[in-house]
Amino acid sequence: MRIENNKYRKSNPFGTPEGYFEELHNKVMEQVLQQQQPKQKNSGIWKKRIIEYAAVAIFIVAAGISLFNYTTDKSHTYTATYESEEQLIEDFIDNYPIDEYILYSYLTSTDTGF
Amino acid sequence: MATHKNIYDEKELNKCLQDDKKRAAAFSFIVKTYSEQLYWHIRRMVLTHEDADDLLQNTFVKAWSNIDKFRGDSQILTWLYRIAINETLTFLNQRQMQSVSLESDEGSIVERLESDTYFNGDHADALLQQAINKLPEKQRIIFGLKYYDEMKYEDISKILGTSIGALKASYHIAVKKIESYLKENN
Repeated sequence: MRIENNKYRKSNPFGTPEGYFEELHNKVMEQVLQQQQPKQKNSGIWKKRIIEYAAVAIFIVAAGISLFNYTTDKSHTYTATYESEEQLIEDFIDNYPIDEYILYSYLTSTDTGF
Repeated sequence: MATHKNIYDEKELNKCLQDDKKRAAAFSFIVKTYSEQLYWHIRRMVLTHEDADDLLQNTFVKAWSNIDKFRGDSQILTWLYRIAINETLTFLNQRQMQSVSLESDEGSIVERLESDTYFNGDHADALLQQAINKLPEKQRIIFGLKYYDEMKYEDISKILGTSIGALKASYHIAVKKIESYLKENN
């Protein structure tokens, strides 16, 4: 039996709903254009402006931190008063990175210059 | 690929696909041009209109998502066929794993097709589809591309990445199996 003969003809036995291919084209293009939209939203002038605003915000935060550190340092240098030498040492240990050897030398000697 | 629809300038279309402003219009043209050809190929593999519709839409959406990777090294139709075949094979494998394969239900394809609203053929047509569905997946694909789509082996080779010799042998075996099945079941 040959599949090319009349009985098993090379016809297309399948069908589709009426207007299917036109509708398919519309459905596909709708999905495709929806995918395209998010890219457009993030591009162009808004993207540039977001970067500019972010740069300004970073500059303001950095300037604020620097100013805060500067005023904090000043308070340690000029405004801090200590009632005793022990209080000064405690403050020193709490707020400054200090080499343990130097601290040991200070505590065991009377002429460290502190 | 020699098809009667392939009358536009493929190079010009490729240029449009790379151009942001013309891409959507070029893709719309592609969808209009190749929908039917791809649909019938998928439909013969999955048999129902609903599944073929889903897979064809997925094919085009994937093609669009990867349009920037298409550099025109292969023809657009070859590229679309590859996506469609991959989508279809993934779908068939998933269906097989879920044990609801039409193939696993012996003898039911003819009945299902004859009761399908979107099947216009007679009993002989349904029996032929059942015979084709008995073939291994790759043989079914090769048979469909050669017998129904009337493609040259050279073009099928570009789609499937299989040698022309192997395709000829596979098609010959497929035809023999189908004829044998029809002889036994007629």
